[in-house]
Amino acid sequence: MTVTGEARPRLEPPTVLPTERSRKRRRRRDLAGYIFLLPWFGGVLLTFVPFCISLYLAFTDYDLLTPPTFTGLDNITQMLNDTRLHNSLVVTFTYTFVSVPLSLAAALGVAVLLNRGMRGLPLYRSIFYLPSLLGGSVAIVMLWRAIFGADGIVNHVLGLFGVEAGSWIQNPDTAMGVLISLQVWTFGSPMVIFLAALRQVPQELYEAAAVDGARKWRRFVSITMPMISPVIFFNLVLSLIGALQTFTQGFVMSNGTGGPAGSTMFYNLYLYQQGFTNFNMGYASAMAWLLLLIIAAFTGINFFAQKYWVHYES
Amino acid sequence: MTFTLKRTTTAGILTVMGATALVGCGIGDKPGEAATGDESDGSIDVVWKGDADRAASIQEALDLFNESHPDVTITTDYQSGSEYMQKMSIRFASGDAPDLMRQERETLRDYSDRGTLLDLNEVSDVLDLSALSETVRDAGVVDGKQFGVPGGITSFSYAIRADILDEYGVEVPDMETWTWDDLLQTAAEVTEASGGEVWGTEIPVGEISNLGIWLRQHGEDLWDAEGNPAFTAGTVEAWFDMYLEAVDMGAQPAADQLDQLGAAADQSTLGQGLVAINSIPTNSFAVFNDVSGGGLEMGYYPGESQAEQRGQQVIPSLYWSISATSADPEASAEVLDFLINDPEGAAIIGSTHGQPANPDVSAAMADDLTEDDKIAFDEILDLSELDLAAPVPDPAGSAALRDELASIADQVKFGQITSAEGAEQFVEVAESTLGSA
Repeated sequence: MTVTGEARPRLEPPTVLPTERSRKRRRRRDLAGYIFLLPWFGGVLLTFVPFCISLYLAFTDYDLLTPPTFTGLDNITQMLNDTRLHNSLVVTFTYTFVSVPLSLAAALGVAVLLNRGMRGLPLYRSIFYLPSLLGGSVAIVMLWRAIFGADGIVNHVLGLFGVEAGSWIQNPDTAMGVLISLQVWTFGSPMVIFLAALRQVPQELYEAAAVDGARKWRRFVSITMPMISPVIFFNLVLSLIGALQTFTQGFVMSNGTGGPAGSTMFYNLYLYQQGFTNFNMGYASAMAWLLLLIIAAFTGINFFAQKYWVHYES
Repeated sequence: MTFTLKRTTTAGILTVMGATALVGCGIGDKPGEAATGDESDGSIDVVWKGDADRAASIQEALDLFNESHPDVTITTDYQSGSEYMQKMSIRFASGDAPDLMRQERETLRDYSDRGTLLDLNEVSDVLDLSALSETVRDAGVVDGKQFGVPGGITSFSYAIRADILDEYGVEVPDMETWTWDDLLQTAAEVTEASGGEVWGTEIPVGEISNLGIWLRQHGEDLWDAEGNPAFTAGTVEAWFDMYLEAVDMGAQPAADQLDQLGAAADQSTLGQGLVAINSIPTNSFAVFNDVSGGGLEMGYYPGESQAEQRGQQVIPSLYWSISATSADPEASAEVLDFLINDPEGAAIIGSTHGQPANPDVSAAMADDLTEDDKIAFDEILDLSELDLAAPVPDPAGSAALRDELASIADQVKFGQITSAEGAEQFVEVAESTLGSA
């Protein structure tokens, strides 16, 4: 990723009138930027119409089979009273607030270990990255079912120590834990980004600190953390958005039921059930917009809070 | 490579990525254009649910139809699993409804109540349903209109791994007259005699068709012909209690002791020999017996002979329906008539959909059946001759109710709520979900 000030147009000081030549050059630079943005505009155009329709549908009773009828705020009233929806929010928030910090900590921890410069680093990096390529896939969730099932590997190992345990997936108290462990295991993407950031921390800072007698932990807290805080922020925002949108894991692990006892009924899974099984697409659209607002709110809070802990170099 | 992160840069990247992610989550389809009819393009689109094997046999039947009707062009599509109905709803929503389609028991009324299906009485000049028994034919009738034709009939039966019971010296109960107590006793003996290697049974406590059988045995039902709930909390509570008692007795594993891998016979706990007695779809006897090494015996549900009303039913395994917007309902009905009534055509489809709904066809097929398929056919025939409650189409909202029962039963299984609380909850959700369309 090459990000420099060069690519962005800067405002000239207002007292100096721009010459004809420099204005031309700037326009050419701008053009390049817009060309690079083209694919994004294409995406926006493609999704813009469904986006607007779904906003309209959020205020209708729409069963997919007959034309939607406008019902005003009915869907929103229903959402306020829908205990299953509230349960799905609890499930999703629990998952998000436990799995995101854990997986970021794991990613940072492993990145720090790998950053010490060892032989075969690319190999280790690939191995640690592999789960993130597979984690969201159906096959791995099936594998996880086998590992945590009643007759799975985990219980066999526990059996060696005399611990008798049942299926971790069938039990409403532990099913969420299994999904969180799956999420934490797939820390590869943030790890690779952390690793790149760690490489950018200037060595002379560590050397100066060492001269002052700072120990390892001190150096990590006072130099590494602030220097990579923009990257932590970046990973945090993305992981949070991803976790709030979780669907596949809950769907596959529970065969689409959100069970046992609703313990893996993620918000998106419930939305899907409402829209496609229960023929409440209007309601599902309203739910989609609520999720958008929730995600926007969390992202907004993150951006607001960054001034207290994110350290930018310039 | 320079990597200098600045506030604006990070913000920019995140805004773009965030916006993309957010845009992606807006779900929406173009509002349905159900009112506009399809343009006639001279072809009939036939869709069904199932795997490649079933597709091959249906395609063969359709090819045979084309030999006598070369003027009808048929296009097909199929999909297995619950994704089938999701695909269907999207096709209807986007104004691309198929002409002739399979409907599920749970979805027939979801579609017919919304006016998207053709009343098949309108095409009775080409679609002859006179050979079907009244009960079977009426199973597809809503408000006097024939919205679906049962494409096959089946039921649920109890199956016993006699080979396992013999191995551990447990007597196989007489399935003509056995009671639920007999089931629990026998099951507990199996668990004990095998030292926990094999569990006696698994009460399908969270499965709605099984609860339906239990309710009918107690003079109630899941819903009445109008689609309103027709049961009391007390009977549901007794169903939950029987499950809890079975766990206490060791007749069945506790909730987290066995994993259900899947519904297919070779993945089932019965087929894998982890459980000795269980409920199966009657028409699936052959595959279950096959994976069980041939030691399977099939018979009535427990409690049938003592109950005030038998709980088992002969039910449609699927419906065939024609879209209300079909450009060529006559030709669609001709194809449907062929699939139901033609001795050759229906025979090619064979028992993949259960026993053929037309008794003449199943009688003609009987000679060529394998021994196991004959057992299943005879069982359904035997049930048809009993005085059973006639099935009514599942009301709208029944799919949601099915999920609710599974969830409530899970909570009862794990002791999160008592059986009485569970029963109360189920009554409440039934009242709010059924007939809500």
